[in-house]
Amino acid sequence: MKLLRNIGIAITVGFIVTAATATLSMIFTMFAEGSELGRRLTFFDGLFFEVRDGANGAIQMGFGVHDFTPIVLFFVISSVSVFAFLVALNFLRGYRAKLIDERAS
Amino acid sequence: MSFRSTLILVRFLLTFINRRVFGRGILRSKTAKTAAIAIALTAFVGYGLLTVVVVRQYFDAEIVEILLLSGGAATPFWVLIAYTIVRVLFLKADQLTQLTFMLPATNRERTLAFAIFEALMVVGASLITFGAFIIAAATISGFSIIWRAVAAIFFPTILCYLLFSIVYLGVERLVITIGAGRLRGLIIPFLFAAALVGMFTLANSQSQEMLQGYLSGQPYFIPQLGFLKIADSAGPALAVLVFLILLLALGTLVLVAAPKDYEPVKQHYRVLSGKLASSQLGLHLLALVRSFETLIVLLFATLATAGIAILKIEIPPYVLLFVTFQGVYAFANSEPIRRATPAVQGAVASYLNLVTAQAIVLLVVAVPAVAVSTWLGIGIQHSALAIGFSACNILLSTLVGILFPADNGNPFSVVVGVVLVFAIVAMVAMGLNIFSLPVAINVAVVVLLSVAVVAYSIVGINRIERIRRYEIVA
Repeated sequence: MKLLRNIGIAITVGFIVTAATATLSMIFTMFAEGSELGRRLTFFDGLFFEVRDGANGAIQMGFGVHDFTPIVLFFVISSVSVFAFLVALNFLRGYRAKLIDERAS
Repeated sequence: MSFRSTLILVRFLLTFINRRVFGRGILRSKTAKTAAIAIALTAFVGYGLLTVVVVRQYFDAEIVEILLLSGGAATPFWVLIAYTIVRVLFLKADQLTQLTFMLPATNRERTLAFAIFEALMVVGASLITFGAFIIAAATISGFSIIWRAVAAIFFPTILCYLLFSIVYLGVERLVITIGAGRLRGLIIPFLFAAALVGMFTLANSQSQEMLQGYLSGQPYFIPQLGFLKIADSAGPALAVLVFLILLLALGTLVLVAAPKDYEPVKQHYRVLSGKLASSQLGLHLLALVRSFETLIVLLFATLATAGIAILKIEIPPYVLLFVTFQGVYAFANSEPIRRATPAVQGAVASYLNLVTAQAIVLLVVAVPAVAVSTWLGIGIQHSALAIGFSACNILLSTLVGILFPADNGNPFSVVVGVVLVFAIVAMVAMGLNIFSLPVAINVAVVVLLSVAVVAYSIVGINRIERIRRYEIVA
């Protein structure tokens, strides 16, 4: 049950971290690159951000997925890291409780 | 009136926040606290950067000036919205107010102490909302825009807030005098809702007058932009002086208007038959529907639906979202049910009762709202989407109420919980938007996240109940 809970937490947190990092990477690229025309890649080349000329001299912005591989890899690495953190935390908590018990007895 | 007593009350409330908001629920853990701060900061940085990008990309100095003037002209309208929300939250905090009765303080000192926290919430929300825009605007129009924003938006915000406080306290005095003080939980939000309709019309006409005046060069007079006019014509020092005089005068009036005695707010009204209490679900439904804040949102939703039908506004039934925010109080409000029942109720059963009761209320409100939308020509798929959003919102707000339990009806847990969950939801929604996945996959992701929300809610209830039964130690 605990293993299942940890896997659930790891997948959820991994997804939120991936979505948040992708969003921040995209916003930061838009902020840093300004309004120069062209296509830029961000988030380990997984996402693209494009500025192009539109109608009536207006500038159009677009974004999307360039390559899913780095996004999926990031999600897997985030989830595994969170899972490893939770397992280590549980182990250390158990070890601490054991030490306290030993000292008490 | 002693300011020392007020300071003691402020310290008392700070201690309450520290122990009952940051020391209970998920925020008890240091890791969770650090994560919460990181989430809030990340969301704010993202919001700030996005605002800067959009403002720099699409706006020039003239548009920034028009937006600033429009924002200033609309100040009374959105301050009234913020004030109504904050007022309902603090009316719910009746038990928290009663905790201060053992302290040597008069009702005016108590009013001032609570007003400080209310004002901090409104000023904080204004800074977060406008801060990023003003910084972005400064990169286009220069640093003088910061001062102009203070004069056009922040000065009127503070004075409008005080003005609404005087009106609220005056009405409170009046209803107490006529013997209806306990009903003010329903009466006052309704008066503010009616005022919102009038304020919306006023804000629209003032914005049009300001825009026409600005574009044609004709003079126009909008009181809330008075500080900006004074600053432009006579210098910022005079604008600050006028503001300080008005601040002092309105602040004094707030204290004078505060009632001398405190009268508790009636928290529950006899709605629906008591026979429903024969089942657990019926008990949860009564606990939800009979509380005054649910009645307020139900009546708001009904009035909004009627307004949409009369004015023939073609929008999907998003008024349903009104009734889904009650979930933040669902777990705390149903505490007596769990304590009064001799048999131990499982976490799954408790959770199902909590969300089913809210779903029943949502469906009852949905029938007329969807009927009106369909009559106005809105496709049924749009209505279904609005119901789906509302159902997800019930799950989210119930999770907020479990992770950040609003003990004693305190509004601080609600605000902290809603801000954090909103930050996470906003980041996930933007992430999904950037990934541009097919609709079916997006729906699948939302369903999976909703399942995770349900699972965490049940785990949360299970843990809280086991701690209360001394089966485990927190």
